[in-house]
Amino acid sequence: MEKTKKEEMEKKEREPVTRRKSAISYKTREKVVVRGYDMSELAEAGYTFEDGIFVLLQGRIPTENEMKMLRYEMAEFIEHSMSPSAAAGITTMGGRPLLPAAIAAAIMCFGAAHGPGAAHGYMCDEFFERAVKENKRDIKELAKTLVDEYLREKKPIQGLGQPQHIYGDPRVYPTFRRSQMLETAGIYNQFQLEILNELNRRRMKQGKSFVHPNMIGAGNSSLMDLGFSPLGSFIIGSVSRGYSCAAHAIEQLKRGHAWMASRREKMVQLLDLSMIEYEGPADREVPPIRERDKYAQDQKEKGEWKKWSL
Amino acid sequence: MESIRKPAEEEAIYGPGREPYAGPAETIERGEAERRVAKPVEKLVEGREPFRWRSIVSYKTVPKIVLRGYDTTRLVEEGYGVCDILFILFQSRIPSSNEEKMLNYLTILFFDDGMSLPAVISRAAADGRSIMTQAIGAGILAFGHVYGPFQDYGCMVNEYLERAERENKNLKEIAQILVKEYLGQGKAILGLYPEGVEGDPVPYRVFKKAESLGTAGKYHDFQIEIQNAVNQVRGKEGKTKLHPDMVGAAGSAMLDLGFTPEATWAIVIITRAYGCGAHVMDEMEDKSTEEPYGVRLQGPEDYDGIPDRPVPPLKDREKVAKPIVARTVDDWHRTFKELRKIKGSGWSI
Repeated sequence: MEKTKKEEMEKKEREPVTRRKSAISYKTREKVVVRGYDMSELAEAGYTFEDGIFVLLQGRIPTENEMKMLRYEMAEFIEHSMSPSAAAGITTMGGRPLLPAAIAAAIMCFGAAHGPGAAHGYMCDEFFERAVKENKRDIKELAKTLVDEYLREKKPIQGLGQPQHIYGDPRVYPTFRRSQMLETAGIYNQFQLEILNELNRRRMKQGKSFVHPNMIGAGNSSLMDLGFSPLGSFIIGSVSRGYSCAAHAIEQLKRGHAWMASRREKMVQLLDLSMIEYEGPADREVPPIRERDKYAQDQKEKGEWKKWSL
Repeated sequence: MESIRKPAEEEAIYGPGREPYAGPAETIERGEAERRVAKPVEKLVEGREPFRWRSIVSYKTVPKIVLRGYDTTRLVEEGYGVCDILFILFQSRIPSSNEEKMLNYLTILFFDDGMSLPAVISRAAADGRSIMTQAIGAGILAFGHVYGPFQDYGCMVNEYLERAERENKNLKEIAQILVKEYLGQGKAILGLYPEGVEGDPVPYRVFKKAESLGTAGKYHDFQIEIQNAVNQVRGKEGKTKLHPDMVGAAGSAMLDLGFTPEATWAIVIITRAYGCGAHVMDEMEDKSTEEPYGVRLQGPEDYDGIPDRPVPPLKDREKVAKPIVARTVDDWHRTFKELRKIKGSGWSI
């Protein structure tokens, strides 16, 4: 009787927040099961962090070479010194929220311009699907079509160019090499290199500089060759960077001043008053509120506000 | 300039002729003086170095990225993996093979926790079709003082270990002090499952793994002493045994590996973020009959707030509304007690 009451109470207390079907995982008192594997058993058996990522995102245990390729890529993804995500983590920590806020801010910083792994993946997949539909099997031809269309439509070709590493991101060519060496390079690697060749062949003819691939081009191609979806690759790229962003944020917490505006520091701080350069409308009188409607109509008609509207 | 006539009540509070909220007279005068001689921007920064992204973690140049002195491309070419890099990133050192193995073991356990808060929140955010990184970020925000409080745990044990050193106590003695103080204050001891929750085998396996790899140290021993001390007290009171949770087991293992409480928390959270990403994809792919979170109407059966009431006509506003401002401590106390009765106002937290 007593036991039943206790069990009932526990059952009530530990009702899930909301029921949801999940193809990812479940847990009981004894274990957390991801894609059918007891994670504790996976760890005990000696599988690696990278094996765990394969299980989590693809539901399979990889070959040793696949695991090694992911290990290589994730390790090199972690740190990229000052990039938008690191800056987001650091500046968020300046307000002294809890650490997860700074980490979330850093990861949320990844989007259409910073580490757009998914966009690169979808770009490639779109052309592969077209190749199937149109019965075109030549990757070189496919790359030519892509470059033609993207240049004509003035769209940026994903995977090429990086604003800081103008002679190519130092990680890029070693990544291509490594995936070839480990024999994990496939159609995505091949397509990326054909796009690179095709674009630069045209640029050379026009006397323009060589554009190097970026880590989306090299890293994302290699991840997709490992079987990760565009979104799966995006997760790996953006979350892996989260580790270093957290380190930068913790450095701000432990070694920097909150608010990042202290005048006591030797170096001018990011949010020092002197860092503000205002380019908006010149200082102007606040109109008396009783004259608001006349003033507002006049202002609207003159239209100068449109210059400043965002 | 037209002067603003202040009500007599405000004059009584702030003094005759004083602007409310302006602060003491000397502050106003000093502020005015500073405004008159406001320095140009160049003067403000005089004698100081220009802003740079100063860092002890990393730098990059056009041809390389350097983490704690190591070229990151050289590191990966040499065969160092994610767990090695985490040691370099947070501790500025290359770990021993066993230390790397221990971290590897732990990270596999951090990946997922079934349908727990981060997964649920990430799935809910994904239902709004936000982009992947937003949905992951939303899940990360679930970590706090109750869910996965690895930083709090680390700070708790560090505080008592520092005390042990100052007061010359051994681990057993300081664990007993911790337990006595926490139980005395009715606070939950971090690192242990709450009463009524049976333990699971995983935390015990973590202890064993750290012992077998030789990475178990004073944090491991202290955690065991805390468990022993609390269960000794509970045993005397005829209560059931408390078991370690993953915060206690993995938290102590991470601290023994040399990670600070902050770094430990960061590693746990970010490793879980991969799991959040998997849940987001699952949610986005789910074409079953399940509705997105929030679509199903939640009617009055679960509402326990103020009953339905008519909206008063706007002209009656002053009759219905009561000003809430408190001007004395007694006023405040009365108001505070009233406010605490309003559910969802935040005053009871």
